[in-house]
Amino acid sequence: MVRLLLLLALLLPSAALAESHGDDDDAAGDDDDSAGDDDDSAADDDDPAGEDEPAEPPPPPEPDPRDVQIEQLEARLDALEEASKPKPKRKRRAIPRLNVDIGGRISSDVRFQVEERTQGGWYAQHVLPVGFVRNENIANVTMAAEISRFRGVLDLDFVLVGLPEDPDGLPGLSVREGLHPYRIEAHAAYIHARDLFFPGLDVRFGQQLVQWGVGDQFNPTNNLNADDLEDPLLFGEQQANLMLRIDWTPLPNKAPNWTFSAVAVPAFRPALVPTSGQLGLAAVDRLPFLDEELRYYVHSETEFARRAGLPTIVGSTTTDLPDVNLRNVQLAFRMAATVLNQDLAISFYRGFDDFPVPYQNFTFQDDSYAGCENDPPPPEIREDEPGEDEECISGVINTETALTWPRIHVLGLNLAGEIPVVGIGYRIEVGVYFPERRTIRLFNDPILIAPAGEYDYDRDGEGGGPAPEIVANTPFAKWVVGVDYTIGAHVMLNAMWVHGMPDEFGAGDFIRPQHWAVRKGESIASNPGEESELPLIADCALGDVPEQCAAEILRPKVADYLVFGVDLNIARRSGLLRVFTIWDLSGYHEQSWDLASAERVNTFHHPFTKKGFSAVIYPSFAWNFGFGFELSAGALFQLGQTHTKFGDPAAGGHTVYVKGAYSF
Amino acid sequence: MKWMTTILAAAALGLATFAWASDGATVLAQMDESMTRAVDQYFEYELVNEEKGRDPKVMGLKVWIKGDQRLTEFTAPGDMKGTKALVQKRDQMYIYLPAYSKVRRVASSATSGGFMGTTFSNEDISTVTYGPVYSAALLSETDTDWVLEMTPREGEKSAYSKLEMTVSKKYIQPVEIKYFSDKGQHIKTELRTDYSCQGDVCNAASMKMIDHSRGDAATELIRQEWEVNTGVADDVFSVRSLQN
Repeated sequence: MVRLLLLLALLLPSAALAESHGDDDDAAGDDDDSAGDDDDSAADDDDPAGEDEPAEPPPPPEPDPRDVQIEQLEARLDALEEASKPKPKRKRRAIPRLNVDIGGRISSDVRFQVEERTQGGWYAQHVLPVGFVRNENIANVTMAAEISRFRGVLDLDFVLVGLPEDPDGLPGLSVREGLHPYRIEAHAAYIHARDLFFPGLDVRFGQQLVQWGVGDQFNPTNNLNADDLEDPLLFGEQQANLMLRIDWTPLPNKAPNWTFSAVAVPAFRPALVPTSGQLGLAAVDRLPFLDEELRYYVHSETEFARRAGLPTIVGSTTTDLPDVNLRNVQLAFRMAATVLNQDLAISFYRGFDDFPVPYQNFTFQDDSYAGCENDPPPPEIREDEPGEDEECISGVINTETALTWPRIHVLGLNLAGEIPVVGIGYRIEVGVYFPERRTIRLFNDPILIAPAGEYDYDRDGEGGGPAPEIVANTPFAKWVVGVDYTIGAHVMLNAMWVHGMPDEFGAGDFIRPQHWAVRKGESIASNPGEESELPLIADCALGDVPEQCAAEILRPKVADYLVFGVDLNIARRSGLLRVFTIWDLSGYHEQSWDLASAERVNTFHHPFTKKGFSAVIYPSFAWNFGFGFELSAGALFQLGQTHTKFGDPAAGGHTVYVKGAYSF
Repeated sequence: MKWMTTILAAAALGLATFAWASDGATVLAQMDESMTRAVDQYFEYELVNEEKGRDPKVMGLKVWIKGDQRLTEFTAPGDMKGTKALVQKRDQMYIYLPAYSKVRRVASSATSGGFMGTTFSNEDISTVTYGPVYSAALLSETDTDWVLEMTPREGEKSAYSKLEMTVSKKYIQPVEIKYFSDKGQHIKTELRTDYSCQGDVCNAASMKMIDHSRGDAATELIRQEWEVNTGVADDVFSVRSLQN
């Protein structure tokens, strides 16, 4: 109909024009006729000569002038139709204009620790007390400025900490930053150029996140940004870092999902760990040595010293971050594509693991800790005598531990798509780690059980020997296999098999159980005068029967977890009830000397026994009021005995929270 | 007088435009053609969610469409801002969540769920053409409309057992779609009104989805901006584009 109307509109004036020029047409026709006559006469003129030559074909008939006019009209009609279509706004596209977009979020978060968690003996105890443990009031500002192909992005959190620090005496009362602590977190501060130099080449430089893994929250191939575990409720955010990122999509229009990426990170940034992680320092029995015999000796020596009134503590740690130089630049490469409707990516990373390992210990005897369990804090002086069962010490074996970050190379594979017919989405992320071998050296001042110098690793009577391994250079794999399924409009299920949490590192898993992580260790040696067939503690510490002296609870270095979550959306997504859980599937191995069989025996505590059970249950409820306003509340329950992954006091214990946020 | 012949021919052609749609399949094919006539389109919408007893919720979104591909970016409210949903194919969808700086593949099982809390499902939003998924039978015809009964083709997944679609003869596009559940219940009604055209590309200025299974909760997409054939590049509909 549109075409018809246009044709009518076009033809009516044309028709009028045609009528007014009709005589001309006729005249022209006459001219044509006369010309035709001329042609005829010319033909006649040629005829005499044509007798000897073949006759030329008759000229094509002259087109009907009305047909010509109609053709012209139709051409005009087409041109008008074309002109009536909206054209690209070339002016606006041609002149780049600055476009600035600003947004942000104001939020407040209050946490309450509902159970006390402690670690370590009374002489160096780390405590997470019951009470308010966190209040952060965050003003987030996000700004993106874009002109042409260039974009700058800033994403900053101004964090005002609601809980004041303990002022350090009267001068501390004058330090505003102490009483009103604050900090700034930069999630992004980068510039981005799209199609730089040629189509498909994107370059981004600055503080940024590069998120490569397809797993949810657990990403063994996402090695470029360090983990941020400082807030346990986030289960592993990533920290932004200074990076140069280049993405090249060779055929941006024909194969837009085929991308080659290269990233360089000049300065290494380590993982942020939760404050509860400090409690881990008090777990001095979690020895990191791969050599089990050495561990048995050290358990015995530690116990020997403890029974002599000198318990061991880790008094301090020092860190040795990789230097900022060319050799330590982290590099990563990735190729991503969509093949047969499945998303595929392979990657390579060369850099460092986020989490530190010890590489040197220095131990000394520290008598300043001398005292008894029930001594009052100084300057109060105790007047009564210590009780019979009360523990008294003459000092501690104090250890200073130096930490570093092991080099790694990681080959990554990511696959995501959906299982045909059933519509279940899947994601597979595998990282094969090639770690650098790391050893540790142990030194000490003269202490009860050893002279000054280096530890005698090989027991040849002289200090030194081959330094014990902390990390073997055996490759190992971490992976995530996840599926998700949505039931109707309200329920979403998400399940993942996580093989290796972010803080787990080194060869040793259920496939190749060659190395173990020590979760608990102790000496089982007897004391002089005690009726026991077990060796004496002195023989254990100094003799040659280490395997008879120690008991340990072990688990694979890389353990397995089921992560299962349910989202229940109600009131058209205004309300979200989420229950997120992590179940430790690896269980725990208890190894000890068995007098009856005269060998070390292994007792496995599977995941659903008292000693083997460990889980996280994290229910939460959020209500979105619309217009960017949301309130939420929830609780984090960490279950299990203290030797387990989540029952460990260093994991933080049970917490409840309330959050409010307004986004604009 | 040849121009008169042309007028008559053109008129005949115009009449034929209406006359040849004599069966459901043809109407459906014409409708799909009409809906994808533009090479690309850009929209800005205000999205209003209404539910009895509650304050309406308003969202803002930008939508780019090219062929079967669609990119949606939320501009409001603040907690949705920057969230992007990309449909490359009906069974290949991605979502970008700015809070995580991460692109996530969305399984097709999620398509029956509400699109960002609206009464539109992901499937409703991701369906650009109906012919590949549904077969159609002509139920009735008036001077102004055709009414089609559409059922999923064999082997095609759909959250609906049937659609009943009223197609405007003027715009050759739907003005009303009734959605039926697996059990044959009429669960939703979509109204597309206030059509306008740019050249031969027509589009409804209002699309309202009423969910009868949720107390007639409704979501209305009110068109604020509309541009046709602005030369949107293919790579806008890419994972790369989501992250930029």
